[in-house]
Amino acid sequence: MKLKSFYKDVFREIWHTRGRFISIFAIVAIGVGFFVGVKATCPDMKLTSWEYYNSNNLMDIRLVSTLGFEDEDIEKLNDAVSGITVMPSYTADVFLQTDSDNHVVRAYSYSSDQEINRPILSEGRLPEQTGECAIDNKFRDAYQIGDTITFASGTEDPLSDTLAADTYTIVGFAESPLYIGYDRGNSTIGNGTVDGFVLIPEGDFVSEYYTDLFVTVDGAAQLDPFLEEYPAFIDEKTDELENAVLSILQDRRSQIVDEAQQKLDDAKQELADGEQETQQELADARSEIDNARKELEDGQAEYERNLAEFNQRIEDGRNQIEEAEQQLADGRTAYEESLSLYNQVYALYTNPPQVGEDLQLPAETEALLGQSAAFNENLPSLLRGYLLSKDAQTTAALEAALTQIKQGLDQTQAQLTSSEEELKSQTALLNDQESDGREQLQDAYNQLEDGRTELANAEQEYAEGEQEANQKLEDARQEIADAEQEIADIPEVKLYTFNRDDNPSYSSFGEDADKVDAIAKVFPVFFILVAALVCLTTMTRMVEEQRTQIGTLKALGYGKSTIILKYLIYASIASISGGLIGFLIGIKLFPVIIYNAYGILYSLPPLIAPFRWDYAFWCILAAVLCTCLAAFAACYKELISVPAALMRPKAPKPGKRVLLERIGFIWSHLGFLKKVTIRNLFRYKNRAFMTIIGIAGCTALMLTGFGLKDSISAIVSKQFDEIMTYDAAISLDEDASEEALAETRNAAAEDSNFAQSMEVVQTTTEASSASGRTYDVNLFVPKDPSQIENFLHLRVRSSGEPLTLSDEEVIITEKLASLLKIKAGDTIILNAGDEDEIEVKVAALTENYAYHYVYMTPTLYQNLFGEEPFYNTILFNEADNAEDHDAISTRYLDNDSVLAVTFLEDNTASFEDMIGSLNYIVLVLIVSSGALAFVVLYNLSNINVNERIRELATIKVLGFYDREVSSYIYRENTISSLIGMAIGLIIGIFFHRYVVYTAEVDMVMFAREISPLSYVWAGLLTMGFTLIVNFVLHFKLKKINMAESLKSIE
Amino acid sequence: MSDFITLQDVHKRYRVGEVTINASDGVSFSIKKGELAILVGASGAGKTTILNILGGMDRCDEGIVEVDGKDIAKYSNKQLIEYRRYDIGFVFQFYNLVPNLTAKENVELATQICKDSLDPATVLEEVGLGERLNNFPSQLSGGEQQRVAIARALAKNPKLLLCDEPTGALDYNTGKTILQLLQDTCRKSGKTVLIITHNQAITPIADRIIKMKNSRVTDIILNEHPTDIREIEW
Repeated sequence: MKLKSFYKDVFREIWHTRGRFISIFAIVAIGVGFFVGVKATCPDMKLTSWEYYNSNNLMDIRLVSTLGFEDEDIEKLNDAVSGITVMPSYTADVFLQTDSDNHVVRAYSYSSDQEINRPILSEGRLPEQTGECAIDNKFRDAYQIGDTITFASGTEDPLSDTLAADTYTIVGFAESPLYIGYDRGNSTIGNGTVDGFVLIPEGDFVSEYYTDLFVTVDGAAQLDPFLEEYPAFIDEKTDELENAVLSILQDRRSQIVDEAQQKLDDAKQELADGEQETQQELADARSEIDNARKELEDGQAEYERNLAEFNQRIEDGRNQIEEAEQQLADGRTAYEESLSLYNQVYALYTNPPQVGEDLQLPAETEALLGQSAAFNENLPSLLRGYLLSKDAQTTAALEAALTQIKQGLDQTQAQLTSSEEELKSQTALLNDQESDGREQLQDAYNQLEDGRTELANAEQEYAEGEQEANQKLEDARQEIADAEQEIADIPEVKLYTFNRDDNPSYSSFGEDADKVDAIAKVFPVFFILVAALVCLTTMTRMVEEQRTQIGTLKALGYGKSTIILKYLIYASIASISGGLIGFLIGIKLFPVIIYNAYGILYSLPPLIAPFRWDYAFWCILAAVLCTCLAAFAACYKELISVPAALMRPKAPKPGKRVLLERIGFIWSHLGFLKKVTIRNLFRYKNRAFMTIIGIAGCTALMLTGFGLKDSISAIVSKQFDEIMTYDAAISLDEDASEEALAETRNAAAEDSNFAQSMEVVQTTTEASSASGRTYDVNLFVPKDPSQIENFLHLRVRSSGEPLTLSDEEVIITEKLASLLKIKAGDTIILNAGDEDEIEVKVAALTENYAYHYVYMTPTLYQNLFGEEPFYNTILFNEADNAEDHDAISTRYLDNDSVLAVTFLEDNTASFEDMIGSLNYIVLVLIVSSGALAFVVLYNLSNINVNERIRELATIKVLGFYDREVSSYIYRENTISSLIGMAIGLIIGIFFHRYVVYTAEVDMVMFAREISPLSYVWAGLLTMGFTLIVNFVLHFKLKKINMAESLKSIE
Repeated sequence: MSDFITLQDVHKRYRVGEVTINASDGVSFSIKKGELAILVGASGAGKTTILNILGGMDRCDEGIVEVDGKDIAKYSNKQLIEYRRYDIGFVFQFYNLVPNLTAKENVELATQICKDSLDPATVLEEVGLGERLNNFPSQLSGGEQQRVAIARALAKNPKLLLCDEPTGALDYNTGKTILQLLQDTCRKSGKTVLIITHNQAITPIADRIIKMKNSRVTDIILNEHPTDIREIEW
C-alpha cells in the first residue's frame, strides 16, 4: 500500500515540477528526435528508392549490341542463362520538334504487358495504339494531353527507318524508374543531352532488330541495392550474360556473314558467267557485222567494177557510134562533094561552056576538069574532048562515064542512108543498153546503200548493246562491290552492358543518402551529448532541491532504493516519454524534410519512413540510462549522508574570489555588477560550463551548416569560375574518319564564335598509388601546354601560386592526392590494374573541386604511353558575339566526328539546383541547433533562477528595478553565451572540417573555407537565441514573489 | 511628533480556491518617527502580511498605508520599487546575503542603487565588522551575517528599517547583540525601526508594541521606558 502513496508522490512531483519535467522531456525529445530522424534518413531514402525500383521492376542489366537483337537471340539466351527475365526493347534518340523548340528525346518502346521498367503514370493514360505516346513528366509544363507532337530523325537515316509514324498524340505523362533524377543522360544527337523520354507503342518501331535488352535477375530484388551484395550478385550475372550473349551474337554474325558471302559468291559467279556470255554474244555480233561489212565492201567493189565496165562499154559504144557517125558524115560530105562535083561536071556536060578560039577552056573549067579526075582518070580528058569536040563518041563515052558516075553516086547515097539507118539503130540500142545498165547499176547501188544503212544500224545496235552489256556488268560489279562493302560493314560484335549505376542519378542518390548518414555521425551524436549533459544538470539540481524530503523519507524509514526509485522513475518517465515523442516526431519529420530537400534533385515517390523501433529502443535506452545515471549519481551523494544532515539546509555554496580579482587594474575598472557577474559565473562553474557547451555546440552546428553551404556552393563558383574557365568542350570520336576529324578541327580553329580553342586529351583511366585503392581519373593532356592558362588554372590552393606542367612529372588534383594518400614528389600509378601500368612522379597538387584530373604534357604522354596522343576534345571559350548554344551544338554535331558539345554552363545550372536544396538542410540544422540552444539556455537559466530565487527576491526587496534584476541574470547568460559563441565558432571550424571531409564523396572536393559572413550569421543567430531566452526569462523574473526572500532556506 | 507610519483599516484577502482568507482584517496602527516599534504575534497572526505591505512588496486590498505622509497603497509598481529602493531598509530573518559577495560588497549591492547612501565601509565599521569587510558570508558567523544585513539596510540611509525576525536564526546571545545594534541604531540615527517577531520576550525594549492576533491588531502599547536589552531574557 505504501507504494500507492509513493507513486502518488512521484506523479505529484512531476506535476509540481512540470517545468523541470518538460525541460528533460524536451531536451530528450529534441536529442532523440534529431538523432533518430537524421539517422533514419539515409536508410529511409534508400528504402524508398529500393521499393520504387522493385515496384516498377527496374532493370538490373541492360545490354546493347552493335548487331541488335532478334527474337531468336532471346530464345537462345533464355536457354543459355537461367534465372533471368529478358525484355527486348527498342530505343531511339530523336528530335521532338515544335515551332519554337527542339528537344532531344529518347523514345522507348512500350507495351502494356511490359514486365521491366514499368512506367509510372502521372496523368492521362499510357499509349495503347499506334500514333499515341506518353511523354516525360518533365515536359508537363510544355505540353498538354491531346497535343500533337512531331518527331524528326537526328541522324542521316530517315525517321521512317525507326518509327512507323512521325506525328504522335500525347495521351499521358509518365515517369520511369530508369530516371530518378532530372538528368536524362547523353545522346549523340542534338546538343548531346537528352531532355526527356517518350513512350511509344512497341508496334510503332519498325527497326529490324531490338536495340536493347533489359534484364532482371531473379532474386536481385531481394538484395539491398545499396549494399555490396547487390552489385556483386549482378556483376557475376552480368559476366555470365555477357558471355552467353556474345557467343549468340557471334554465331549470328558469322551466319549473317556466311549467308551474305554465299550470295556474294553466287553473284560473282553469275557476273563472271554473264560477262563471258556477253563477250561471246558481242563477239558473234561483231563477226556478223564484219561479214556484212565484207560483203558490202565486195559488193561495192563489184559495183564499181561493173560501173566502170559499163561506162567503158557505153563509152566504147558511143565512140564507135561517134566514129561511125564521123565516117558517115565524112561519107556524106564526100558524097555531097562528089555529088556537087558531079553536078558541076554534069552541068558542063549539059551546058558546056563556049570554048574559045584558042581552044582554051576557062580556068574554072580547067580546075573543074582537074577535079573530075577524082571520078575517073579518063574523065578530064573525056570532058575535054567533049568540050572541045563534042563528038559523039566522046559524048557517048562521056555520057556513059557520067551515068556510071551517077550510078556510083547514087549507090553511095544509098549506102550512106543505110549506114545512117544502121547507125541510128545502133545508137538506139546503145541508149537502151545504157539506160538498162544504168538502171541495173542504180539497183546495185541502192542495194549497196541499203546494205550500208543496215550495217550502220547494226554497228549502232552493237555499240548500244555493248554499252548496255557493259552497263549491266558495271552495275553487277557495283552491286557486288556494294555487297562486299556491306559484308565489310557488318559490324564486329560489340556488346555493351550497363547496370543501374549507369542510369543517370542512380548512384548519386545513394551517395547523397550516404552524405546524410555521414552528417548523422556527428550532429545528432552531439545533440544527444548535450541533451545528456542537460539532463544530468537538471536531475542533480532536482535531487539537491529535495535534500530535505530525501532526509525525511529516509528518516521515515524508506530504503535507499525506494528513495532513489522515485528519481529514477521521474527521470525514466521524462526521458521515455520525451524520447518516444521525439522519436515519433523525429523519425517522420527530419527524413521528410531532408528527403524533400533532395526532392528537388530527384523525382521519387513520397518517402517511406517506417518507425524504426530498434532506433527508438536504443536511443530511448541511452536517454533513460543517461538521465537515470545522473539521477542515481546525484541521489547517491545525498543518500550516503545521514538523515539529520539532510534535514539541515545545505550550506550555500561559499563565495570565492576569482583569479581576475588578483589582476587589480582590470578588476578595479569593472563596475560593481560586472564584478558580481564574473564572480557568479565562476561560482556556478558547472552551470556556466554547461551553458557554454550548449551555446558553443549550437554555434558550432550553425557554423557547420552555413559553412557546409559555403563549401558546396564554392564548388560551383570556384570550379567553374576560377579553375575550369573554359566555356564548352567538343568531344571527338576517335573512330571517325580522318577527313571528318580534320574538318571539325579546322572548323573549330577558325570558328568566329570561339574566342580561343585548344585541343586536349581528356580520357578516363584508373589511377592508384602504393596505398592500394584505385580511382577513375581524367587524363588531361593539352596539345599546347603554354595555352592552358586560357582554359583552366593550375594553382596551389593555399597560396594561389600558379603551377606549370613539365615534361617529366604530372600535376594531379588535390583530392585525388588525398584519396591516394600521396603528396608532391610521390609516385602515381596510371592505367592501374592493366598490364601496362605506368608509374610517374607527381610534381605538384592543384586546386580542384569536382572529379579527378592528372595533367601532363604531350611529350610526357608520348614518353609514358609510347604513342602520339589522340586529341579527343576541343575546349573553347565563346566569343562575345557568339551564336546561341543550340546553334553551335547543332552545327558541330552535324559532323560525324563530333560526339557531343557540352557547355559548362549546363553543369553549373544543375550544380546550383543541388545547392539550392542544401538551404533546407542548413535550415534544418539552424532550427535544430536553435531549439537545442534555446532549451539548454532556458533550462540552465531556469535552474539558475530557481537556485538563486532568494537572492533575486532579496535584490528585488532591496529595490532593484525589474530590468536591473533581469540584467543581473542576463549578464551571466550573455557572457556565457558570448564565451560559448566564441568557442563554438572555433569548434565549428573543426566540426565543419570534419563534416566536409566525411560528407564529401570521392568525386568532389568541398571547399575548405567558411565565408566570413557565415561566422557572422552563426554568431548573430546564437546571440539572437540568447536574447529570446533572456526575453522569456524577463517575465519569469518579473513574477518572482518577493515573499520568497522571507522563507527559510530549504 | 507626528505619525511617521499610519495604517488605517488595512484589508488583505487571499483567494485560495473557493475560500477567501483574510490576511489582514482591518488593521490600523501608527508609528511615530524615530520610534523602535515591535509588531508581535503568533504564527499566522498576519504579521508577515503587514510586513509585506509596509515593505512595498505587496499591496493591500483596502485601507490607507501612509509612510512619511504618502499613501503607498496607491503606488504603482514602479513607485513601489522606488519606495523600496530609497525609503526602506530590510533586515531578513535569514540575512539573505548574497553568498557570492563579500560583506562590503553585499552592502555595496544596496548602496549603489541609492541616491544618498552611506559609505559601506563606515557602516560596517559601525556595526562592528570593520575587520571583516572582505569576508564572504560563508566565512562569517550568523550574528556577523546579520550585522552585514543590518549594515546593508542602514547604508541605504532609509527612512524606515523593517526587520523580519532578526533574531530568529540566531542564538540567544547573538540575538541580543543584534537587538542592541538595532536599538542603538534607532536611538543614534533617529531612524524609525519596525521589528516583526513572534518573540514576546523582546517586546519590552520597544517604544511601541503592536500586538496582532487573527489578522487584527489586538493591542497597541506605548512603552515610555523601554527596558535595556541586557535586562531582558528569553
